[in-house]
Amino acid sequence: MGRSLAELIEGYSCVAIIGMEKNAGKTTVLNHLLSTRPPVVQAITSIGYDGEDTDQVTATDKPSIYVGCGTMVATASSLLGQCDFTRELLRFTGFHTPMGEVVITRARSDGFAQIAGPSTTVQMSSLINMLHELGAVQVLVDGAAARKSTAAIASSEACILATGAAFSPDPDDIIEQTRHYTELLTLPEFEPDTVFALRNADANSCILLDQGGNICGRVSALSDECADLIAGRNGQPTMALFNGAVTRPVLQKLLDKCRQLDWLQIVAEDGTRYLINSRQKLDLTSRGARLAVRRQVNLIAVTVNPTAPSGLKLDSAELCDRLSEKIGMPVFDVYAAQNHAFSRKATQYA
Amino acid sequence: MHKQKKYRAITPGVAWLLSELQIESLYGREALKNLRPAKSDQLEQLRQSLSELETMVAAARQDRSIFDQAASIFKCLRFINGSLDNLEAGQVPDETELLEIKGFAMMLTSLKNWYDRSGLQLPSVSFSDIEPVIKILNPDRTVVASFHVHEAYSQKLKKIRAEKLQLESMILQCNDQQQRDELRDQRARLVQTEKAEEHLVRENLGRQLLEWVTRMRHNAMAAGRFELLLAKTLLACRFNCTCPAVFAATKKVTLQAEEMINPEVETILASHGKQFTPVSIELNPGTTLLTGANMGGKSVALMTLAMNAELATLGFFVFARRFSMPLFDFIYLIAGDGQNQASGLSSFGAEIIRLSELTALTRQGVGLAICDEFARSTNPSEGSRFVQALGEFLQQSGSYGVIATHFDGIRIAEASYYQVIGLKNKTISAAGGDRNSLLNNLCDNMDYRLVRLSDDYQVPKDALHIASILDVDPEFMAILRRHYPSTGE
Repeated sequence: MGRSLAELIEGYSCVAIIGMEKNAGKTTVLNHLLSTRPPVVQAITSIGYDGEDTDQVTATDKPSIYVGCGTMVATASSLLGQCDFTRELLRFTGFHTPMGEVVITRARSDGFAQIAGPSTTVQMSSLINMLHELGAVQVLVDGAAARKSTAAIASSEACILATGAAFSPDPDDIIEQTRHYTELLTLPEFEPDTVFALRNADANSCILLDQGGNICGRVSALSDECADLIAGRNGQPTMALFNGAVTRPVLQKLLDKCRQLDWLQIVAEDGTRYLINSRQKLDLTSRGARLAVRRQVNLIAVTVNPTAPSGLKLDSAELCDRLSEKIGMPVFDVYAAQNHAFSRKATQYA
Repeated sequence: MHKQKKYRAITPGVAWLLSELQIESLYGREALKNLRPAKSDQLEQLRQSLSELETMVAAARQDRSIFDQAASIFKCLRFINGSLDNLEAGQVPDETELLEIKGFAMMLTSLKNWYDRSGLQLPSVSFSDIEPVIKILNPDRTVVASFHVHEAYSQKLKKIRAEKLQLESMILQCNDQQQRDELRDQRARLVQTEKAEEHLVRENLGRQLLEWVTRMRHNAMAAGRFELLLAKTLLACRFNCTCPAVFAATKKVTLQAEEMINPEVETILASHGKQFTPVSIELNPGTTLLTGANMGGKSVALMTLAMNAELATLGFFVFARRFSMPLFDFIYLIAGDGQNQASGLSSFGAEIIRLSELTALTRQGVGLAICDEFARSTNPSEGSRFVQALGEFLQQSGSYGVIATHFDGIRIAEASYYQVIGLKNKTISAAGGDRNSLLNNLCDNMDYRLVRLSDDYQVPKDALHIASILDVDPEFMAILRRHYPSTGE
């Protein structure tokens, strides 16, 4: 048995938990990490708000976040009344959400928390700083589901990915998709200075750089011409820098136009920006295209919720084993943790 | 509450300066919104606020850093009027409102302490003691910035929480699912009684705070006014402004403006490595006629004068070496192209409407009327008659009117005449090169100062010369020259 999930995140000042899907067990992971009661002050906040009592989509019970006495909670003011821990209000943050301004509180008892935090990267980073200044040693960020988790991973030191049966009833499918997604998150970081090219660029731009690093094209990544412009560089070493999403239509059109892509390097902000399936990724890389990111996610573990909202329950041990083997990373069964919501350790398969 | 509209600056210079003011708190912005020019019956108040500003500027010039603490307080002062309104409406304050009020009371108490220590003693700025508000919201001896519904407020609350804490530790240690669920139900019921008791405590706190609302509002307003005063102070220091002298508008008062500058134009010039030439002028009641070459700075001179007069009425320092003026009832501009196709007005039409407003104002009080090239957009023979009439009208109105014009032959009995000195060297020629170097050549050869003339002045005929300096097409120039009398330009 290796290290527990709680032990894995020791020493990180900020950890984001992101989910492949809704009901992937993000909240259970958070509850587990909060329940281990480490000797350092923990704080918790969330990207936006994701806290209905039951999941609106699947009508399953959504576990509430249960915080321990001394934990700092950053949440929107209108949700304070729904929190049932005795609390001390430490400060206002100046970040406004549809549910009111985000306020930093300290729990003076255990209790359930409803959490809504800021949704932009800038505000989240600034909130995490405030929490550290107030004495929090470890900040846990409830990141949204995968595609919306940019703000969470951009402001965190380490990341945990939650996946599970909610994603698919087929274990092979879960394993394959999770492998694909962890690969995207951990794509190599592209080091050289490309900030100049992105300065003043419109949102969702694609900027082409030639071998000398000079800008040789600029186009909206959402437009039809995007793939045309990239394909027009056929054969000449080119870097396509995206500051927004790298979408399937663009890449598919590119694949249709170019037989060889060994002249092309694609760089996105981070792995969550690649909105492509594993088949497309394989097509790209087998033709020589290199995929990279400006910010690699420090993914330290994957958690699995073997129970689907439909009630279907997969063989947890087998799933965890196979997944861990495939992705070469510690995998934890959160269902085991959920059953012992306040136990000291979640089971690890690694 | 009665909502006032934001003050709209009369001159572009003042609009620019107001946007440059450093104001952080909403109370400061509120004070800025309520800024109004002093009317002629408010001379004493205006003098008092100018003298307060003098005290502040003197202190800042000695040591700017004494204001650092106040400035940092304004930066994080929250606008708590909503919470105060709710208290007055009898609502039970929620915990964020109590945190907000506590924070405000702490900020304002440190502002008051700083102010009392500073020795500024400005007659219009005073802060009430609201330290008891902090005591109400902080029952412990150590004052902390956070707020919570403290057990010290209620024995019952203390008991409930102790019980709840016990249950929570039991839940934590319990391994039996059913037993744990029972404990959780118990805890949930206890949470309800805790919330009910907290509500009573907050209700009681609300009642205690109610008697402090007026004083908190007073302090909030005072803080806003003081922040505006501080912003005026820092502006005066930044541009090295001077205190204007303001007098009651009697018949004999002269407006004296020595070496005025226009900070907006100066900033633009500075970015091109150029300097603003200060302008001086004296106005007596009646009409002053201003003539001068094109591009000689007539408009800038007029706007600088109007801006400084407006600043003085708003209780700001002015951009001049010395500036004294009567306290005007109004400052009115007829300047620029008011053409507006949407309203169906031509430039001339817009001017005539402004003219009617001006004539109405002159019947209500003594003001400053600034007219830049009035009637320029109609035919010259009628235009000059309009200017002649406007000059005569203003001369007998008792107000102070300045009319800049290119029209020849305007003569008004007892009026004053000024002229831009203009081109220093009457023989300069085009420098060649791009448009910038042409303009530079022109600017370098222009003397923007104003000189007083007798009434046998000549309107300068520099248009042809200036066009040639700006390197107008030679073919066009040849045609143009044929239309000038052969005796010269």
